[in-house]
Amino acid sequence: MTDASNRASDLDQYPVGLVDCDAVGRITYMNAQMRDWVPAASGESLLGKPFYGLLSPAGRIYFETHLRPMLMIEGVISEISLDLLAPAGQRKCIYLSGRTKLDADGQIVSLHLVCFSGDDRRRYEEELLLRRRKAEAYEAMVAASPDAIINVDTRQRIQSWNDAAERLLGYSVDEALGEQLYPLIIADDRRVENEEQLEAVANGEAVTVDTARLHKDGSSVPVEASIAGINDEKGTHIGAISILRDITDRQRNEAIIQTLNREVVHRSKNLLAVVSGIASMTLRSTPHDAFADVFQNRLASLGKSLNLLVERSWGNIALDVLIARQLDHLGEKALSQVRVDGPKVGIEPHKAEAIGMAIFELSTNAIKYGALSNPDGRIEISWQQDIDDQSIVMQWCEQTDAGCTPPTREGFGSKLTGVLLERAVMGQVMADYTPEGLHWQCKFIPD
Amino acid sequence: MQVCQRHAATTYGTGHRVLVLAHGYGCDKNMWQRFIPLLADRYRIICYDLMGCGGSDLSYYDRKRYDTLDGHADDLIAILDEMGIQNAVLAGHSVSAMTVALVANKRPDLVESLVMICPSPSFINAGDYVGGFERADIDNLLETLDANYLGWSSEMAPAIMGTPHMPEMGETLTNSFCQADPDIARHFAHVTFLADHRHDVKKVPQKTLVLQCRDDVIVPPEVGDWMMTNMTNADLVVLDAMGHCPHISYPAETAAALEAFLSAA
Repeated sequence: MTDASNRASDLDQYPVGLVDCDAVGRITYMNAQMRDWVPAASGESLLGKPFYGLLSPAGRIYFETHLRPMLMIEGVISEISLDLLAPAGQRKCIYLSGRTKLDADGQIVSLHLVCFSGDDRRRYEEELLLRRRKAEAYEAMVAASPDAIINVDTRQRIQSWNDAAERLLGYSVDEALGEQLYPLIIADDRRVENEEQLEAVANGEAVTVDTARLHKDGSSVPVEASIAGINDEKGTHIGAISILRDITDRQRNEAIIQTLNREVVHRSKNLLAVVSGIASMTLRSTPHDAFADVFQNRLASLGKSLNLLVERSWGNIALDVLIARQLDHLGEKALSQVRVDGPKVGIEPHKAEAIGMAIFELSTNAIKYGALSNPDGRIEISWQQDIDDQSIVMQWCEQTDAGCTPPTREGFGSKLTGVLLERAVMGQVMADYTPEGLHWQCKFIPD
Repeated sequence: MQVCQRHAATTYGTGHRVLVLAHGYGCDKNMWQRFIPLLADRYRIICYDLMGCGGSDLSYYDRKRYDTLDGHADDLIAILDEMGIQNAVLAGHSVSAMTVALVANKRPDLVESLVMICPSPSFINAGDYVGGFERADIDNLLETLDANYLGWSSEMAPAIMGTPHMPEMGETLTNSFCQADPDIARHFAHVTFLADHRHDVKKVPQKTLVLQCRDDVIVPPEVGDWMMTNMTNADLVVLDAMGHCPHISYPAETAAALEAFLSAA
């Protein structure tokens, strides 16, 4: 055996693929490992064929777009991950390193390539890549979470802090990482509570509780905290994760609901008292066969004022709106005989209820006995507000050629427009039955 | 010279005619370094880095702009306009052969003639058209890119690739040769290998040299035939050469073919 063939047979002992190529990449030598990984189709030889022909289609593109230029220009490539694809069909993951040999003039003489088996490393790297992508996906989820997500180790040191945590509590990631929950975001008076909760989650419990955390500016932020323990793959407790949700709005709404509940009960009792009063008064002052109609109409009037109050969420009610609502039972013809004029003024709910009922009584009386019983009759409803004491003087002036008859007795209707109204609005009422018709006025403070 | 700076544009040689060299996918303008000295005594040669490659200013890499080759074509137009160059010979390697075709169509005033080195108007087989690859091969290429960058950040990626040596080559190369930000490399691979510019190539009016290698693993001979059938004013020269980068592997033969075409033109 010659030295050269001895050497070639030595190279066959190496557990790596060795390939020599000419200056443009035609194969001139392959050692045994290489021939084993990429066996030629039977009866063929790979000698003289291009090296890239041993690569998968993607590998060929990569070789021509990246590796050939690097070999030619820089003279070396190292640890490139590629797939060999033998003419006979076998596929093999390799890492390719290579170097060009130059002659004295710097011209490329040959290429020398080494292929390391890469199956295991490829699997490992793919796993790594997969995990990395998963981790990135989780990170993106945490970053995008509208709730603050804070992760602490067993010594309560903050390990992660998302954007929502910064928005909620004011500290940036850099300020928060590594700090302990107490005293950074746990107030003195919640320290014990927090430690108990962390102990509970360390024992496998999950805790959800309404509590508060400290903002960087010192204010207390009401939060719902969901806390759970974190274990590593061996089951050892390594920390806890808290998800904090801002419940400022929720608490505010709960407070509003509680107030409203109390209000509803209070008003219902009042309303029952008013209804029972209307019932007994109407009963006393109305002939038996008319009772049902009169009582129903008065309840309907009360209902309209209540509707207005609900629409305005028990806020003040504009006087012109209140009047319009109480007159809408008159119908188009009668309404055309009524003129309403006055500045914008809001009436306190309780007073609005009484004024509404008074307007209703005045209008039913006008239909039955007053200006609206005559097609030519007119009613002027007007009010003015005193700039100094804010008091309102509201007038109801009827004018009719037929004249008017003063009531012969004081019915409940006149109480609703008189003494009961005065009591409800803490004002004064005057009623004057002139030859042209009723002149009625009420002076009161609107709120 | 903002646009030129952004693309690390460099001028070599002197000459009446201007030859602009656009590198292909995978590398940068250093690809031309064995080639330029062969023509620098007769031409004013400008080479530059495509946006996202080599020494270009990556902060200008806007995925939307470079989602098609039009963005790269507009870059080349901007470079020529900034340098006040008209009637240039535009030479594009591989994917950039399509970019120079787009420039020729968009701004014929800038282009005297075209040189397309190993061009392919579409890499994917479609019906009767032989592009050389299936869609699955391209998807596999993207995986190869991932494997070689491992999705690592661009600061870490250079460590995976070779380090420069061979001071004999005369010029010290930066570590960035054939490196790219992994995300940009992936995006550019998409744009390059999934594009179909057969329609644009047919419209090129300028005289064009189509330079092929006889044994090019990326561009099969059928593509050269297709170009001849479908282009109105093109000459085909097939080099007795192997690989996809004749200007690197066979710089003298490539320069000679180009010279012959340009002196006839």
